[in-house]
Amino acid sequence: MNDPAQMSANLVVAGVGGQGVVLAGNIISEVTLAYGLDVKKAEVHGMSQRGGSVSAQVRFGPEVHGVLVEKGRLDWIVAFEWAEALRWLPLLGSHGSVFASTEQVIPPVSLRDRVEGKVRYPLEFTQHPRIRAFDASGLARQAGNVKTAGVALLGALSSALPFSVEAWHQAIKEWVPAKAVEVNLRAFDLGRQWQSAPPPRPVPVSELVPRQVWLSLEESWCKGCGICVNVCPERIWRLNERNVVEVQEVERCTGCGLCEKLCPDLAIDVVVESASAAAWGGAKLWQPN
Amino acid sequence: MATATKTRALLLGNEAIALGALHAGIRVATGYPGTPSTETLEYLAKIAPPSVAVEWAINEKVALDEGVGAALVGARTLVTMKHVGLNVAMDAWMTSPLVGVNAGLVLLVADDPGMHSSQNEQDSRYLGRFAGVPIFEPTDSQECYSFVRAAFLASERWDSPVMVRTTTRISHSRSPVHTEEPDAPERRSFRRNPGKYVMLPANARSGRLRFLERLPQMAEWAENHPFNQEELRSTAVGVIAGGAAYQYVRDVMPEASVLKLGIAHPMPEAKIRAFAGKVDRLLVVEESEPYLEDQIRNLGIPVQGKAWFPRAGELSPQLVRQGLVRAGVLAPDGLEPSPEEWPETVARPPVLCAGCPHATPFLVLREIGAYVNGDIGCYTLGAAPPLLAMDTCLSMGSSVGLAVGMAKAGVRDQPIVAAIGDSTFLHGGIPGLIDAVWNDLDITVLILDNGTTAMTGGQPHPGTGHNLRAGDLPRLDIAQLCRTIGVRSVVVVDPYDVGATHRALLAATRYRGVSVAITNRPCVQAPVKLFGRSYAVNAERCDGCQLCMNLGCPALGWNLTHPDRRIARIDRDQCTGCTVCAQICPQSAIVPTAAD
Repeated sequence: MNDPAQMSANLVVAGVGGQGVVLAGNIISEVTLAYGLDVKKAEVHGMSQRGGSVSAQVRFGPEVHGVLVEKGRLDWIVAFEWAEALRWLPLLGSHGSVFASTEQVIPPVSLRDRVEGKVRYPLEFTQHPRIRAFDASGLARQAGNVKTAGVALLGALSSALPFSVEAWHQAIKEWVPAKAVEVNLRAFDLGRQWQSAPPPRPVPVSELVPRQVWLSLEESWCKGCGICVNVCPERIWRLNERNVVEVQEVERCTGCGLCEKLCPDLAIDVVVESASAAAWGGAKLWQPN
Repeated sequence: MATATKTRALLLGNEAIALGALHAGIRVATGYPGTPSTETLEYLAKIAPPSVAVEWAINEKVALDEGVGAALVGARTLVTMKHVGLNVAMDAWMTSPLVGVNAGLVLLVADDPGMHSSQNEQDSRYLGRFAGVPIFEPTDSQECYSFVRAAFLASERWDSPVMVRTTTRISHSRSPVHTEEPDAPERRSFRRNPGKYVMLPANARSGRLRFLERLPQMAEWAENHPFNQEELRSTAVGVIAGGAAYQYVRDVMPEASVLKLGIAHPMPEAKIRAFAGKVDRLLVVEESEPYLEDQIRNLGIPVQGKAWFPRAGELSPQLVRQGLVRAGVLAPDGLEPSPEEWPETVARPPVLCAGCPHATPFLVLREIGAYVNGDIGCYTLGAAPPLLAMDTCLSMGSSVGLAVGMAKAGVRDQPIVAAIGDSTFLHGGIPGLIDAVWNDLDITVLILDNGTTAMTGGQPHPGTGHNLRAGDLPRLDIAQLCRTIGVRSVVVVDPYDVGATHRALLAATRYRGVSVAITNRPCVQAPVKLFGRSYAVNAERCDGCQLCMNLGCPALGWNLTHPDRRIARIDRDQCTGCTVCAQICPQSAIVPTAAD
């Protein structure tokens, strides 16, 4: 194995706000510092910490200048969340590899397609010789606290780096709160013993049967109360200049039927039919009477 | 194998600045929170002894005024803010070099190129040069520590405030720091000197002359300052750089000669001329504006910079390499990223937290239909889908002024609303509200009071009754303040009560005159994470209408296994039990989980 005091490498720790990404980056940096190496670490603070992507870039070696990893020079990705692992792959060097948790945190932005119910998120786990995906949360639970998943991943990473277990333990002790040291050390050791992951199982996703929606309004019964305007989840109703409701962007109608149920004048009709895939054109029918 | 021994501390740039200031013997530190400057005061509050006053100020202008006051009575003082914060303090900033200092006064300004967490990416070096003060620009945590110490000495030497300018990558990067023996500066006391300290025109005129006499002497000092360092290597190309850009150049083109400018103002003219004469081709690599480049070109020295390196956004090693390659001074190194076709991932923009009390008022405002002027804080995320409830957002406190302007322009078709957080209101919203009352305009000011400065991580403000270190302080009553200003319609409402919030905002927007509605739930994140009993979706009752999804709550997602439709699902670990989704669910499908 490499002489640890001469080793240089570029790492990214990636995850979602609140997963302990910044802390994990500090632990790695502290280990390298203990070997007399130079180290630089970039952190993400501020707005991204509100549920956005969070990362820490760590560069270490005998002499390090900039704090950012250049494209094609990334050696390790340690990802606490599946989609965040994929985000950094384009920077990975030709020999770089990935330790990724199979934890999937699907952000609200992935669930925008309410008509067809498609999920814009990489639900399938990519099988690749350089991506080592494993159930870090499971190891963390085994250690005694699901929040130690990140440290379990560091344990796995440590098996690929030439630094001693003692140095890692010491760095963990330095950076995690005193009462959480024991459980984190257990998670680290479990991660370090990790050899091969059981084949990860993706979340099963049901294929929705396409439906056709008929949406109609008896204009003469509408008194312009605006209840449908307020309750429609897709916000497709609006009051026109005659104070009668009309539909805009009918293709966003999911056929939930809220407007029909809540219309005090029984002026709205929503008919949902399961159509054969061939007849399904994707458009909704809208006709004011 | 080397033994594991620790000799250096691993500090964030901001922490190193705090430690440097402490070791320079500061007695006062103040500022206003703002990414990426915030951690400086927070760290100081942890490490400084009680004899050092470390507390937040109400805004950057007041912070700088406090800094000048403290320095005049002989206390070395650190003032911290982000780049746009200096705009707020500009009035004091521009005259402070004429008044001078008694003990050292250092201003940390942290710029945010790339706008990780800001509304613009202005380059503060211009504002340091504009005021005619020395600007120190560190390139890593070690320099943050030593430059800030040197900055205090420079401040006293030049009888002027000194700017330490960082960027996000310097402030929010961690690297090892060696510390040195702390200073014990002699105690100075205030000596009356109205001719210098009272900026009447007559005094300011002589102050201006003293200031102009000082500039060439300061330039002489910068010429010989060790922070401006010539690193002569290959003479084929010479690069002038400072800050993060210096480090990227060193990584990408280690063979290039570099003139590293640790002092961005005044510029060492002779040193630059000498350097230019030693190299065949002169380039400037700098982030943001062509600040150095324009000045060097004005000296009549042929130089290139922004022709190859972008002016917008943050620099990166890739961009520096691309620029050097395009400039023809560096060969492509062929170290391309691994050629695999990697799977696509998904964008993950920031969102309001699960249980955030700001969601309901925006949902309601969208229903009511209003011109909504937003402001700076977490709640600016109310502009993003699915809430989509914000029409404008300009700068700290601007929401109220924008609303006043819309009312003055005669907008009548929809109510005009200013939506502003508690800390932002106290920082810069109050004068706008006074203007609205004074002119008897028809606007509604929605104050989203979550009892903290949430966006920057939960700092206290005058409405919280405590400060960074001091507790049990007078607590400002925002509702009472609005009444005192003359607002006749002031209502305080619980944003977790959807019906009450709807009624309150409807009444407020229908009120003829200035109305204020205050939502009063604490932030779910700060100072401690709040959790109540979590809620769950009854799969039998949920018909997949997606109304709850319009809250944008990250705890709400889809049950992906339901065969027929995408019904809602609540992540029990994230749910705070705020009940808002349960209140708006038309099917009453969202119910509390059994108590654990």
